[in-house]
Amino acid sequence: MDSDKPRASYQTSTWVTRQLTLAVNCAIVGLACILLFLWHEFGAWTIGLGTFVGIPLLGVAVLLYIGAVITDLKTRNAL
Amino acid sequence: MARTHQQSLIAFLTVASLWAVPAWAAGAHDVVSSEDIIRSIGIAASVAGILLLILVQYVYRERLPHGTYHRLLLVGVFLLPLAATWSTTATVMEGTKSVQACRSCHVMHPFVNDMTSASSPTLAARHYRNNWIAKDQCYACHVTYGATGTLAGKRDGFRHWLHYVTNTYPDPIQYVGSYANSNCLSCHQGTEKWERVKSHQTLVGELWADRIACITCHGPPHPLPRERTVAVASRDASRGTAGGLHGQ
Repeated sequence: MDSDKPRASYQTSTWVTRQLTLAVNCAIVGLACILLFLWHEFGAWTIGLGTFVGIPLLGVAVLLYIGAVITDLKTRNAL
Repeated sequence: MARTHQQSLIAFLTVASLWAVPAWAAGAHDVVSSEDIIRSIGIAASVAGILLLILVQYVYRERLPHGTYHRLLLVGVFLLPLAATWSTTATVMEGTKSVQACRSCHVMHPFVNDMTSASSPTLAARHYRNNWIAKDQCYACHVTYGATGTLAGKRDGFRHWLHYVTNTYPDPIQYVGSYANSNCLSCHQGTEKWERVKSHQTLVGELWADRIACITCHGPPHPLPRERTVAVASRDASRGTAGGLHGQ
């Protein structure tokens, strides 16, 4: 039931919010790099951008997201 | 109200990602292969992921319930990127085998132009115009066969890419190391034509041990450094002698 409450009723810490925003931004940039590579096909720069920038950024985004969720759960004494 | 937002969000993302696939496929290819499908999944996942994250984080964030917000973030940060990563990896693993991928670096143009030339006497050109290797002609000869062959090929490809983008390579490029005869023997040994040559039978041990190179008698495999001028090769290509020469 708690999960359906409006977001405004939750007091998420600034640190968690920042981490989530950073994770989202990393994911957006990573997906954009991958999209450029997949759309443009093979090129020396697009393959580098897609595989060596895009995929690591997505990895960073996932780690940040997991970190934010764990921090959030610990703050609420749920973990 | 929140449910309406969710429904409109999902509907928008579905339409946007479905639009992206045919828009790409129609423009680039007539025949859709499995590689195209994998790529299109990656494109759809990337488009959907970008739109979802922008909408969830920057447009609907304050209006979405806490649980829904986190579930949508999970989809946008984890599930859709997972699909995009899988698609990219599969595309890279398959795509880097193609001649087109090798040609994407301009330093390889003289090699590919020579290979597709109708008049070139090099080993690569003879293999190409006689259709001895049906597809992925560069990869077929340049990935060392065996358990670690493909991995070694990708490692070398990465090294070459790194040299290319950092502009740390000599021009004309030089082949470093030795070429394993197993690349030739894995196809040629055992064929009637190969078995007919007495020197092959005499030297088979030496050939497998790489003490004698196949190209000593059958080379050169590619144009020599002084012959690798893009201008000459491009002129050849403009005469209409490049490409589509299989079977000659």
